[in-house]
Amino acid sequence: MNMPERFPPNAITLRYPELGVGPVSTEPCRSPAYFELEREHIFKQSWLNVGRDEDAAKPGDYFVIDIDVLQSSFIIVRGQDGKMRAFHNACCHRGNKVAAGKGHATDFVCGFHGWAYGTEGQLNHVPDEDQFFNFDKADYALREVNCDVWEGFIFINVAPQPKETLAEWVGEFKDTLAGYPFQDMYRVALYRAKVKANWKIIVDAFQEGYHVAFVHGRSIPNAFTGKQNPFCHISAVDLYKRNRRGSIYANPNHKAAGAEAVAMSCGSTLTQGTSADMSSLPIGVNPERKLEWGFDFNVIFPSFRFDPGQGWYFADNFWPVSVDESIYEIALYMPKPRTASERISQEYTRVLLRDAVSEDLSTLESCQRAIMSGAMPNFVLSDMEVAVRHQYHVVDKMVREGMAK
Amino acid sequence: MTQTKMAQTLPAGFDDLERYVAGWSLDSELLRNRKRISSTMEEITEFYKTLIARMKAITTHLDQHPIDNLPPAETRLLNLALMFMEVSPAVELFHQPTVPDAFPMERFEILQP
Repeated sequence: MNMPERFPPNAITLRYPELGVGPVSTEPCRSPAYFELEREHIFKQSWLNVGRDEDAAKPGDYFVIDIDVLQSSFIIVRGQDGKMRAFHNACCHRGNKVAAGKGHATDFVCGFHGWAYGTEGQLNHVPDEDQFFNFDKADYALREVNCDVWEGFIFINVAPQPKETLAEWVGEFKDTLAGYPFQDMYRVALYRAKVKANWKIIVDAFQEGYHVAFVHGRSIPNAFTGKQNPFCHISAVDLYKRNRRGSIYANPNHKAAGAEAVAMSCGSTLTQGTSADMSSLPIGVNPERKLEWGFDFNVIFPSFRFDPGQGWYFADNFWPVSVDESIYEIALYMPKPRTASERISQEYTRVLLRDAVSEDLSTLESCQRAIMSGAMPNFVLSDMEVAVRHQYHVVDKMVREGMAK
Repeated sequence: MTQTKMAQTLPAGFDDLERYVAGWSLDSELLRNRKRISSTMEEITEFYKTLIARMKAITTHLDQHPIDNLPPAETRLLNLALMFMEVSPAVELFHQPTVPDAFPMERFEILQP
């Protein structure tokens, strides 16, 4: 006997028939073999955010980033010509690292045998060079990887020939977010945690509003939920080829009190913007132009999210380490404070975001344990978790396409 | 001036906050968070209640100075105000110094941005 279908009203998921509405397998979150497929067919083929323009602002400025899933360390450096480049952080002689941390350099000198590279990767000096056979320094520049910058966000791609440019990879966001004042903000906070969970499990926690009333019931009791929207339903959801976005509701009846009221009187906060002027926002930020708008989430596949609000944005990276371990990083960006009171106001947002993120991470390790145990073969996902569903769909598609080649 | 009077380390008019300078005027988020999570609720609440009544005076005073060039006394006062923000969720939301049921803070790195 056929049961009548009971679907949520106006389901977003049904707009994307390729996603289906059934349970989603947890196999990609627990299989070491699948993790290796993701490494080869996703992370070694994708544009990955590694930092911001400001992290290497002047010629010679550099920073090093170790990326477990790529099994390598990279130097990101602005050359004397002003161009941002990325290199494997490995001396071409025997492979030792040539840089560490961050700073300013005129050259990178390997500590093993003193080989010295310029900031554009060229090998400038080899001690006792005459002892090498048929040797030409031009053959031993640092191994370069693709590097490009979008709206100040630096991305690298280790594929020898990426199938898409960074602009193509960023896709719809390139046009819809042009004009957001990313460059007028600075990094106010940076947090990192090694979480015993698959990277996708962590992304999932940050692309739905269903958890807000529960996970953040204490920290943010009624700013993103309210009588009109008790379960923080997301809106303006757009699922693209790989990327996705949605808007998070804000409760117009939320009343600032205590420290939040102090903060509100001196600037924008995480929980309420100060400026009602949305006309200055690009079309891709709060596209519905709703007053009941908290912020947006935007995911650039696979592992970069940035969430613009009014007077701030935060950005996070989800770095896989192994099938059941990841490094989560989140940074908060705000305008340079013009006054001390604005600085004090910003501290409210910094502290509340940090405390709320520590709540977000709290559920993930027990989810991962349940998945690893085999007790959780599938996820059952609501319409409001359509972005979660989309992630597994895109991952599966990319892995399958990679294997078919 | 009596011999027992504490040295003035805050701007004039904020003598009532002088007793917090040694323990609570901390110049990084990491130090402020450590202070919060290692204090008792009694200590935190007492500090919070004192500061919230003074925040308007603090912001009004500090805004007379350019933010990039705050004198040392004003910087100490600013750090007290930032500490107020640090402890505020503990008092207003959590009723305990740490975030309840959260990811363990010892595994959550607060980095230099």
